[in-house]
This record gives sequence, structure tokens and C-alpha cells, in this order.
Amino acid sequence: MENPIDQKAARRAILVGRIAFVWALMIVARLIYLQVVKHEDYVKAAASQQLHTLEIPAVRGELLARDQSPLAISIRTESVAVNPMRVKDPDFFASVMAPALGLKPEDVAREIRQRQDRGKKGSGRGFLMIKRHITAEERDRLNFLRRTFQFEILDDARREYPNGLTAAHVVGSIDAEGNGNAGLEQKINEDLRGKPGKMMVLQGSRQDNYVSWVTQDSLQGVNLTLSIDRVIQHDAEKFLEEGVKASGAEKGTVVVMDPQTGEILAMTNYPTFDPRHETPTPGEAAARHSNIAVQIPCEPGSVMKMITVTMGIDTGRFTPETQIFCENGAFPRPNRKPIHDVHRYGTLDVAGVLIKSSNIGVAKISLASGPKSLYEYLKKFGIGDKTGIELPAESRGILRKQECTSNADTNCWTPTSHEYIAFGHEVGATAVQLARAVSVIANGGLLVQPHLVIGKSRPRPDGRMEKIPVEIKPPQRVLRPETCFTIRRIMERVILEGTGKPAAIPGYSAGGKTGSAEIFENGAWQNRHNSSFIGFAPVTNPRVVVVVTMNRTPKLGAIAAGPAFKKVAETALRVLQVPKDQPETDVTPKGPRMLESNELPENRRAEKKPEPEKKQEEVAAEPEASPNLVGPRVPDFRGKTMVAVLRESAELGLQVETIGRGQARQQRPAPGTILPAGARIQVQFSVTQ
Amino acid sequence: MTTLSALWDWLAASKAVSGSAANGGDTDFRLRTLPREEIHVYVKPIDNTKVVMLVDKKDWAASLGMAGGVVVASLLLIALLLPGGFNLLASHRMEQLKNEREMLVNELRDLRSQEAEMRSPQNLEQWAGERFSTPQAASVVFAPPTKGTVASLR
Repeated sequence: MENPIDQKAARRAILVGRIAFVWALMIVARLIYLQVVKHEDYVKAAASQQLHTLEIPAVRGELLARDQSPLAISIRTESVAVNPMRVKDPDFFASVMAPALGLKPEDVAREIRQRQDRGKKGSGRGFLMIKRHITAEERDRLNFLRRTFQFEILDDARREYPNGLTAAHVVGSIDAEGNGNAGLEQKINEDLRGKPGKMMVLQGSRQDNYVSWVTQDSLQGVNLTLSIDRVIQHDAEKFLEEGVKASGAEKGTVVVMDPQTGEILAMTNYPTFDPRHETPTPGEAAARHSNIAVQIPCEPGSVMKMITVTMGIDTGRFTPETQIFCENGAFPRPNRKPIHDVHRYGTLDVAGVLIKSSNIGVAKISLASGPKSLYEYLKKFGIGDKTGIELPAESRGILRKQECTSNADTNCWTPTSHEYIAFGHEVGATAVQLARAVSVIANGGLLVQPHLVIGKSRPRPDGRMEKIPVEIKPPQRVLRPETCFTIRRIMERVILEGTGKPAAIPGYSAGGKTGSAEIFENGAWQNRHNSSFIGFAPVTNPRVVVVVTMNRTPKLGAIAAGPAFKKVAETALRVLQVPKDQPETDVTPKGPRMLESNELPENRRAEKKPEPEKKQEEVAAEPEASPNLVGPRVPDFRGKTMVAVLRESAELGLQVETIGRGQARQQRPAPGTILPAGARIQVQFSVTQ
Repeated sequence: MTTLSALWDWLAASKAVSGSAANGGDTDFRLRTLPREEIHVYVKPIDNTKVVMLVDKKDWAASLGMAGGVVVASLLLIALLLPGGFNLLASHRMEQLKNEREMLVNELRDLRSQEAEMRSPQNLEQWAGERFSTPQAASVVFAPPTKGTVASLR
């Protein structure tokens, strides 16, 4: 017989077992419900808590000077913003938040209230930037307040311009949203700003990242190395400001360029602006968008004579010695006003026309060459065409078409235009265009592309730099080198003997041309000029081209712009470590007569000039001998071989420039003349027949 | 065989004896009669003195196998979970390093900016103007001319 106690115990055990089973079943059922039925919901919920999509910010590219020092650089920062509609008590919020950020509580409270008062549909009511670019200390203080107040700490970036005003018009500036609004910052904005990417991040409860993976690659901003030299740029700005104030001008600009490569070493305008000011004054805002050197063409005046004379010589119609009668100051023109010169000149040679800056002389050269030829040479020098420099809103200058399409076409040359364009009227050019035009003469006949960017690189994710090739238009030959060499020598005489004396650089030979164009405004001449000076140095192998323009100045040409040219060119040559080629004390040495072919005895014999004009020419070409002009006498190389010439010149310590091969036939300067310090002897060889 | 009440009595008695011995008096701590005291607890006397442990190699191997299996399973489990955990920690460290790198790169940018500002021509010119001036003639000391010097300022 079975024990009744055992039966009871068994029943109880079974009961307990059943309860446990049901309980376990319920747990399993619940687990199945949570993990199978509600699987997707909970996966989503977990992902929303742990998985975040973050933006990989693209840091704006840097703008670097020639020496790799930053001109503009972006630094990542953080900013604090709040939704004013979520702030219940603005006073309490401001009283706690403002001290943590170094702000005035009343200002913060007022801003919040103003946005709250805009109502539900008011624009900008839901966002208030409390403070941009907070410091690390402020960030730490805010961390304690994050659980108390609803505010956001946003990623931001601060653009710094460590050199201040230096190269402001080249570098430009950015607006509050980080987009360029002037200079290179604007022109190359897309490259500089890059493209932000995206990444997924698995975060822990403390919002620290555990795993991240990139879903969309970011493209960092391109770093640009500019051709700007900080020292030349700074000094150019300083000397321009001095020059503008001294000449009573309203505005001014300076461009310094390497004529061989087209690299802009300095470019400045006055007035300028401070790119660090996010909210500029009206004056600064106007200056920011007015890059005179690139955007505003003005009548170049006599500067244009350089092109006209070059045309005359390059086409072979004229030589530097060709005599031109300059009508004693007034050149009567049929059915219109005569063309005048400032001074009355009788007969001048072509070189004298440029040196004395005779309007009548160049008008006659233009008349003899014809409008088609002048237009062609203007185009060769790049007048009327954009230079392609990497700055916004570049002007192509003012040069109308040479041929009219119809009688109603007014945007073309009149039958008399070429007479006036020859000396810089009816035409407009920017300072950069003028710098390019002078470079053609300075580099021996190549039209180069002025440019600022000499290097591009992009930071890779691994920290290395990826170099990006810079596309520069290759130089294009537009003139014969011989023509350029001749014009260089004539332009040297402009400084030594002509209108450009204030631009003489101590210790260096330099060539240049002055220019003045009186401003005609509101139907009257304003007695204000656009005065300019363009030039290069040293003459034998020009390393820099400098263009100085003073706008609306009462002073003319070299008096207004010459001193600035001299100072800027001097600095540039010093910084570029160009050796001096003239005695430093002899600021206005005697002209380099060595290149004048009439110096040769045979030419002297062949030359027949009217007596009075010859006297005038001699007075112009031969200033008083400088007491400092002492040097060796030029030996007679004629009839000798090249080896003998080189040996003899080496023994005497003379520099010789050889042309051709065979026996020496001609030499400049003539034998027996005193050679100025730094000058070379040009010896022409030819094969004996 | 003894009853539950007797068992309690026995337990209580031994405590009572030790307690009364400490107090110096005899106190009866007998339990009162418990209900259902007819329940008997059967105590079977077992004599293990003659028990000899037999070594069963099969059992021993089975036990060892079981223990080994558990250890291996544990190790496998650990090996299965460890890389994942390690990966998680390593990636967390990597993320920290990435952040640190970004912070340092940013700091470098800031320092480069400060350096450029200090070395800007404008700043150098200002410093040169403030700190450097031409010394007076009396304060200039000329170095003595060296042996090969042809001419000197003094």
C-alpha cells in the first residue's frame, strides 16, 4: 500500500513543477515576443541610441605665401546655439549661461526674448547663436550645464589671417557662412572649401565613439601656395600708401611681377581692408570688392607709347634712329583738334620720341603703320584680353574692335582712333595687363600668363599631402628678342635722361615709362590724372616688373608714381638677392650709349642730320658727364676671333656679350670709349668670306 | 530509532547542560510536547570501516573527459567572445586616438597661425622699431683687427 504522505508530497511537487514550467514558458514567450516579434523595433531603438551619422567636416584649404607661411588658415572651433522657443525663463537661462561664456546676461536674455516675440511663424525664431568660437575653458564650463539647459554645441571653424592686412586683396575674405566673398577666397571657393563626408559611429552611453566607418568620403579643401612674397608685399603696401598720400591721389595700385614666369610677387591696392573683420565698415566693404589692379581699367596714357614704338621697330618700318618731325608741339589734324605735345619738339629720333614722350611722334608712327598693325600689336601685348589671373571679376580692359561690322556699330575704332590709341587714349588697361605688357619687353618677347597660384596640394586622410598639378598657360612668343632688347635700352634712357628720372634705383639699371591720363568727367577735364609708371630692373636681365598707378592725382607720371616704383623695385631686388649692376652713388649715370649704333664711327660718317635737330638730340641724349663715371676704356676687338676676344676681356675683367660666330666685325661701345661700371661690351661676329 | 521530540530533547539537553554549568544552576529546558511527535526519524547505522574504494578507470576517464570538455568548452567560448571584445576595446582606443590626432592637427594649425602672425613683416618691423636702435658711438666696441687685416675702423 502506498503511503498517503508520499502521494501528497508527489502532488505538491507536481504542482510546483507545473507552476515553474508555466513561469518558464511565460518567460520564454516574453523573450520570443521581445526578440522575435519585436526584433526590428528594438533593433531600431538600439540603433537610434547607439548608432549615429556624423558629418566628416572638410577643413577649408590654406592659402600659403611663397615661403609656405600661412596667409589664411582655418582652425576648427565650436559654437554655442540655443532654440529660444525652448527657453522657458530667459533671465534664469542668461544668468547662468552668460557668465560661463563671458557675456552679459542682459544681452543674452534680450536676444532670446526678441526671438520669442517673433511668434511661431517668425523667421529665425528657432535658432540663436549665443557665442561663436568658444575656448576650451568655456567648453568645460558648458559641460556642467548640459543636463540643466537645452543648448547645442556645434562644430565651427574660424578663418585666421595671421598677416593682417598684408595681401588682403589677393587673399580676400569669407562671409559668416564660410564662403569666400573676395579675392582668391571667392574665386577658388569650391576648391578651398572641399566637400564634407559622412560616417557612421557606434557610441556608448557617454557619447564616446566605439566604432566608426566612413559611408561617404570627405574631400578636404585644397591648400594653395601663392607666388606672393610677404616682404615685397608688405613693403609695396607701405610704399603705395606713402605714395598715394604724397601725390594727393585717391586710390592707387602696385603690381610686382616676375617677367620670366608671370608669377605675381606682390599686388596691392589703396585703400585696402582688413579681412579679419567679419562685419566691415562701409569703406572697408567697398574696398573689399574693389581690386583696382584687376577689376578697374583706366586710360594708360603715355605708357601705351611703349607698344606703339615697339610696333614701329618690330615691323621694320622704323629704327631707333629714324627721324620724326614732331611739328614743334602741335600736329594739325584735318577737321578736328590738333594733337599736342607737352613740350615743343622739332625732330626727334624714334628713341627720343619714347624718351621725351612725344604724342605727335607716336601718332606719326601709328599713322605710318596703320590701324590694323596697331591693333595687332595691342593684342600681342595682351591689351583687351583677360590675363586669366585667379582673381574674381577680372576686367578685360577697354579695347574696341578695329573693324566695324556695320555703320551703326559704335563699338569699333573710328578712322582716327589709332592716332589717339597710340599714346594711350580711347583704350583702357588694368595694372595686371600693363604688367604683362611690360613683361613682354622684359623677358625678350614672350607673353606670359600672370598668375598667383604656384602650387596646389590636398591633405589625404592618412595625413600625407597629395600634389595637384597647376595648369599655367605656356609663354607665347609675340616679339623678336632683338626688338625687346632695343626697347629695353630705350626705356632705360627714359629713366636716365627722360621723364622717368624720379624712378631711378640706386645701384641698379632700370627701364620704364611714365604715363598720365587726365580724367574727363561730367563733361569737363578734372585736372586730375591717372598717373602711372611701368618698369623693370635690371635692364640686362630683368628680374622684376613693377607697375604703379595713382588714381585721381593732381601730379603727373613719374612725379606721382616714380618714387613708389623706385622703393618697391629696390625692395624686390633686395629680397630676390639680385646683384647690383650700377655704382650705388651714381643714381643717374650717363646713358648707355653703347647700344646706339650711331656711336660707331662708320655710322657717324653715314649719318646726315639737319644741324639744329642734331643739336637738340645731342642735348637730350648726352647729359653732363657724371664725375662718378670712371672705368676702363673699351679695347678694339674688331678682326679678332672669339677666343681671342674672350681671353682679352677676361684679362681686363670686362663683360662681353657675343653674337654670331667667326671674326669680330662690330662692337658696342666703340673702341676707346669709357665703359660704365656694370655695362657689357656687345661684339658681333661673322664668318669671313 | 528515535522520535523527533527525543532528538530535540537531546539537542536541548546538551545546550542546557553547558548553559546550566555556566550559570551554576540546573534548569530544565525540555521542549514541550510537539504535535505529531509520533513522527519517527530512522537513523541507520552505517559502518564504513570495511568499505574499500574501488578505482574505476572508466569512471575516472569519463569524469576527466567531462572536466576537460567543460574546460575546452569554456576556452572555446572565451576564444569566441574575446576577439569581439578586444576589437571593441581596440576600436574604442582607435577612435580616441583619431580624436586626439584631429585635436593635435588643429592645435598645430593654431600654432602655425600664431607663428606666422609673430613673424609677419608688419610685426617684425614693429618690434625692430621698438627694440632696436642705432647705438651711440661711445657704446660701440670694435673688435681688435686680426693679423691679416689691412684696414680697420679704428
